Amino acid sequence: MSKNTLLDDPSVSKLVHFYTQGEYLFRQDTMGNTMFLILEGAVLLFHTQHNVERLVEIIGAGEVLGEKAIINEKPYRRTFTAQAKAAVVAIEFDIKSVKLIQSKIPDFAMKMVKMLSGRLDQSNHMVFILQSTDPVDRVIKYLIHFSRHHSNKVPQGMDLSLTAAEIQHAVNLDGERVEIILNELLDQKVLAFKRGAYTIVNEEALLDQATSLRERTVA
Amino acid sequence: MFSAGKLNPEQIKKNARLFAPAEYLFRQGDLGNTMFIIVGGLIELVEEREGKSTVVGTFGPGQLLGEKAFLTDVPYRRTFSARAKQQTSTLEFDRKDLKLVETLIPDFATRILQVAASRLDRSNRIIHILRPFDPTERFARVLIFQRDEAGTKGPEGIEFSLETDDFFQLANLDKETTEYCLQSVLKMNILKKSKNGYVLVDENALLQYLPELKERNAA
Repeated sequence: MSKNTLLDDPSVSKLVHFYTQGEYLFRQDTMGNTMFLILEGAVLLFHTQHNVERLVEIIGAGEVLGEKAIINEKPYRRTFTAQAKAAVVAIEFDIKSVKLIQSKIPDFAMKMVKMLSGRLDQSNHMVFILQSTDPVDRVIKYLIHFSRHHSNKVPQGMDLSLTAAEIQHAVNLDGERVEIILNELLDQKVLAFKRGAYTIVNEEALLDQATSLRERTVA
Repeated sequence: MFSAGKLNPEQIKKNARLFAPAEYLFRQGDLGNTMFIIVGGLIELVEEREGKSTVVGTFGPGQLLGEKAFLTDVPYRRTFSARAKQQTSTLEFDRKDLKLVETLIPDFATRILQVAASRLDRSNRIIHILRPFDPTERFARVLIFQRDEAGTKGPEGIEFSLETDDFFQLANLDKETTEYCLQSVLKMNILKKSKNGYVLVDENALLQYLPELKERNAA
């Protein structure tokens, strides 16, 4: 879906917005009933809790955000703040505008649905990971999940570009615990660590480590 | 809602599927890329896990079943079984019928987009339940989830049902912990029994009571 096809049509072009770097698409706790499809640039998502602001995600071109706001027609309280990381072009629409866009771009809704389905698969997998109440299990399952969806193949294995803090946040364990597990995996040479991020050297061996590692980290 | 009046008898013959009580539309694990529109009757969605079947949802006239399979381009494995609760008539469609479905249900595209967004939201909310390691915290999150997800306004407040299975499936909590926490919050008048289930009397009190509940449960 290119910016130009959307801008060609005056009824749709009014839904296309431009943001300069640092500008807000929306702020946490404000009301809204629209979702966004990012056409160009990237958006930072922040969540503030107990006065601490944390970066949650970076949404790139071709991805959507704010989809919760279209679930029903009632205005929705935003749970995140969205800020342009660089210049952003985005199409902003409520559920009523979907029909309008759909009349110009017939497969628009289906494309959005596909994107959300992809995210749903990932969320469901995360549910599976978090159902485990064993710390070692959570870390190993998460590393493998991340490797399947977000990694880059490099000569040494699968580059996760994940820091210990990010892993710790995803699996919701204390930092010390995560460090012990990651260090054990480094010692066993199933993980490698370079420039602050991890690479999976051997996925099969990583899975094999689960049982013995559990015993060692408990002891 | 859809209008079957737009279907000619030829098409009805082609797409109509009738099911007797207890007959299956499809089984969990089966491959299938079709979607069903329920015309009359009731369908139960059943999860089969470790030899046990649990009803996870009920669908009635006008509702869609299997939209995700319908939207997927690759062979789709059904994640649940679907079983007729009573004599049920449906229309079954595959992707080739998309145009037909869009004429039958003019707001199909927006509806399916809302379905996709709300499924993603549900999955993300389950992630939120599962993140804490502490079982009492997961217990409290299930209460809030059930109230928001399945609550209906009653004379005593927002009523919702609670089954031990809900706790097990959503939060990975065993029967013993669930019972203990349930009895404790009932005794503290944080939760009360109502005519059609339970009412969460005070969400803040629940959150404040958590540290104590956590300690007692551990003891």
